[in-house]
Amino acid sequence: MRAGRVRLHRIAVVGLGTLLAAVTLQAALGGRAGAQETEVDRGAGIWATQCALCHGELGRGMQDKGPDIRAAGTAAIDFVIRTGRMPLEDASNRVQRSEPHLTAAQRDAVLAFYDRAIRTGGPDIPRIEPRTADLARGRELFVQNCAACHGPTAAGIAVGQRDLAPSLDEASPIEIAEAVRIGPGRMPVFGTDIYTEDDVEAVTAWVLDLRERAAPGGAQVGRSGPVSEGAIAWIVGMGLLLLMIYLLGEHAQDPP
Amino acid sequence: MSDRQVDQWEQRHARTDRAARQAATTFFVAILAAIGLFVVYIQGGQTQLEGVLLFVAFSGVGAGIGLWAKVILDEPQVVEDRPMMRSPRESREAFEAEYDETVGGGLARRSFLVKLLMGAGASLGLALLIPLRSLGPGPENELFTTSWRAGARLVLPTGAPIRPDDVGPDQIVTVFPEGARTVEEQADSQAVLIGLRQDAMDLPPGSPATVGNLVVYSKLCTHAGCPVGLYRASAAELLCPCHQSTFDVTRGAVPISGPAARPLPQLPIGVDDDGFLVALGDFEAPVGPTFWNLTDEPIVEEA
Amino acid sequence: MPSGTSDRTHRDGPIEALARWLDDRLRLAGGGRKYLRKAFPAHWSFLLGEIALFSLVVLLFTGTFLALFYTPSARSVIYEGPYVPLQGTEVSAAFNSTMRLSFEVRAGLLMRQVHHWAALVFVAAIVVHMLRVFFTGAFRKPRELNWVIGVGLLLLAFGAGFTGYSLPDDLLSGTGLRIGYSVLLGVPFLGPLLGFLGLGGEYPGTDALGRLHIMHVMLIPAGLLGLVGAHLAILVRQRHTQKPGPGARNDNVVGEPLFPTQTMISLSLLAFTIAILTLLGGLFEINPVWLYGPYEPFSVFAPAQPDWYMGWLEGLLRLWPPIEFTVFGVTIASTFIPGVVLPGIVFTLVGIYPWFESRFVTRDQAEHHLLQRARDVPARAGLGTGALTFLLVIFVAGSNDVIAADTATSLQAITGILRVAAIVLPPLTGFAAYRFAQRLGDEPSVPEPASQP
Repeated sequence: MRAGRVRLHRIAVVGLGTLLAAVTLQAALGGRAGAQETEVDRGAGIWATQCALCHGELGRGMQDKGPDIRAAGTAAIDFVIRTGRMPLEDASNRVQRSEPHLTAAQRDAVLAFYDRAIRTGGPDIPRIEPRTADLARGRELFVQNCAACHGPTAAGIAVGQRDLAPSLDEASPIEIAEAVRIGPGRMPVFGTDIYTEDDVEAVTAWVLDLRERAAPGGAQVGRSGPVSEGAIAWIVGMGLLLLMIYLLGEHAQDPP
Repeated sequence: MSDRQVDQWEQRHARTDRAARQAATTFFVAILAAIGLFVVYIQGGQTQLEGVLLFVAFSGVGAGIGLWAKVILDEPQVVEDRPMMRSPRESREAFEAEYDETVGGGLARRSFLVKLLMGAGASLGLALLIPLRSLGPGPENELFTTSWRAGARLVLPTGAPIRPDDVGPDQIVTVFPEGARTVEEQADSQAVLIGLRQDAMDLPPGSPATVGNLVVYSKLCTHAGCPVGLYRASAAELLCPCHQSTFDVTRGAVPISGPAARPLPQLPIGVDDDGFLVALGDFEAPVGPTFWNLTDEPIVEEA
Repeated sequence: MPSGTSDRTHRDGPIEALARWLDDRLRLAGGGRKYLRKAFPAHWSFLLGEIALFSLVVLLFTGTFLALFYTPSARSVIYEGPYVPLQGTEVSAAFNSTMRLSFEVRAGLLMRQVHHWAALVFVAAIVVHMLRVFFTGAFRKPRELNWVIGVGLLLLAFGAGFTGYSLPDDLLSGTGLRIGYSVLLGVPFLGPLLGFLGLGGEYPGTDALGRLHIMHVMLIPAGLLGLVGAHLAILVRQRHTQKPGPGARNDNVVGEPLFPTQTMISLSLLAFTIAILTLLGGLFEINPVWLYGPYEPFSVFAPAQPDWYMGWLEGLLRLWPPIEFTVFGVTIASTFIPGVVLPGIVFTLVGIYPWFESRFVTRDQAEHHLLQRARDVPARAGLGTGALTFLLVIFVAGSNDVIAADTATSLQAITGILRVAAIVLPPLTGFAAYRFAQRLGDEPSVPEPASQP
């Protein structure tokens, strides 16, 4: 019986060796492809837990929850995640700017997954370099297309019902450029056929200039134009002057 | 003087002395501020510094004079008689008697001449209005027409023509007729080209022509003439920033909120042989704010 | 004493020498005695009119400076000044001159800003002064004429402000001009003709800026100075009213002598008015036209409001419902009633109030020089409070979009609430004020001392 046990032993060794080799090979091969797959996988993971509940596994949207975002473009996805508008805790919550809920790495992962598996169209993330832009063209474009809702100093204003065109004070250059291309909320879309990348860059540069350039006239109180100015004229101007005449004049109970 | 009077006199004296010192200080500060103003100006000027220094200078002068008037001066109040404003009876009667003797009687006898003179004065007064008519032309047809004509291409503010595919859903562009060079032409021909979403268009029957999902309306608000610049894209509503008139773009820009009472007139559009968007005629109705004879037919000029 | 003989009883300083020189030619001594010691009732609320007067002085001074630089022309030029974002942009000569004044002329921006702040304070002071005159009954006989002159001054101040802030030809004021023109267009029969005559053609017309300029620097200031002169002359002739108090009767005047006391109080107030206006002009930016850009008729921005004193008109236009109708071929625009009829009624009612009150409310045609307390004529307190409430509500309505943004509420909701408030609140507050004044008036008060017949 010693010959049978030796054969069994050999089979076991070969079998174990093969198994070990296979596992090692699998680990080695799987590791290299995994480095590429992992970001999309990570994105898929985030998508499944944060996005699919309202927008669906394939981004087709779900009734009364989230819209179809297949044609929104990577610009839109990047924008809503950067500005903390998405992911939303609950579908009925108001969509508004807040602290981002995802890290930059997570955002990149979601973008990678979206671009690979969901996207059917829509604008790319714009590439802009505002420091080299034509400021005068940016000012002109802003006045003609943006100031009607965002105000001449980009301070924002109410735009009907409960909608608000927000102040642009906190928007980063990339967020501004993305918003122009995607038209978030009530905002219209400014498409690539009419407005070039240079145009978007110029408008972004102007918004930054509004923030950075010192006001030569002094304090900008309220930035609501004549409304703020009227308030200052009455409160500061008339206030101080009324104080002065009170000090300079007589009072009814003064002795003669 | 009694002791109490001496005390009061001394207190008063101390008060005025203190006030005099304070006034001297404020005047001195005013002088310094004025010098500072010279320095700032010579250095090139700076608005905030100029304002503050002027404030200090004039406040110094004002405070000093105020202290002088209120504390240092010891003027007692003055009491005057105030006769009634109406003239005393004798004065009035004397005037009336004198008037009747000299002027009044004469005028009364020549009342016919006086009336004619007044007539002449009134007619000349009316005639003075004539130069006012020279201030400008009459409106005639201007309010009924714009510079849009059949075949005029739609162009951007830069002058570039537009193809239908350039404008997708939720997009809005301001357009003019090609060749509208002057500000007057642009002012009343300004229009907005809007890309509606698929199946959103629901224009009333008989509306002017559209191209695909594209529709063009006058940008002049029918309330008070402001450009209707806010587009609430996802609601397909145009909002005018001046008085918040809101227009439903899918249903012919009818006003749905705010003080405007007329819809924004629509421009008929088509595509020319080169594939660019063109107008097929002028707006369907007079643009801009309502005027009294809006419903009249425009005067047709002899061709 | 023969002339030329020196009088050694006083120190012979330069002022005395000048006074003698003038008196030799103008006979001033008698008038000097009469006027320099005139009694001026000195209650602090009587200085409100002087705030307006001294603001006007600042306006004239700064305005003259501005006029030396401003170009009243719509001719197109290319901006080539130091403000980078507008370089190379086509602007009007008027806008260009305003930019030059703001960025290249030393103290130019200060002068512009002081001028604009002074305009806002000028109208504010007139309004507070009017309220004081109204609630103390100072408009009663013999001062009805001065009340009407005052209303005229308020109207001219409105006109000066509107024409003035339209001169830089920027996007905000140009929008306001367009609205004014459109409201004018809505006047039946005459509207379009008047609009075309005013502008010299169809909007925007090439003559508008030049004509606004002449109105602003010549016609309206002439009117203001003339009416102010009349206002003050009547005041001097009738002597100022005074509050009832110890020694103060209807047939005397108790107060500070004009010289030196009252003159120095006024000089002090003049200095402080200049000080406060220059403080505003230096520290607070106002009307930054470079951020608005030059006017182009197809652009606009929000929020778009006129200067504060036009806010009530703006509010009326925003609140009025969209009612237009055509009768016998004449279409009445929805802007006609809120833009023309109602303001006309408001100014007319304000102007005729002294006669209305003396005929229908107090039935009192006697001459009055003693002021009343607000409670003394409850109907006046009620009407005044109600009218003020109405004006305040429509004034607030002019900023409905700013309010909606700042309070995060629906724009339409705010407008709806204000519409209701404009109708409901004035009668409520007016009636409450009426009853409150009546109740206060039931307490025993100092009876008006007898005056000579």
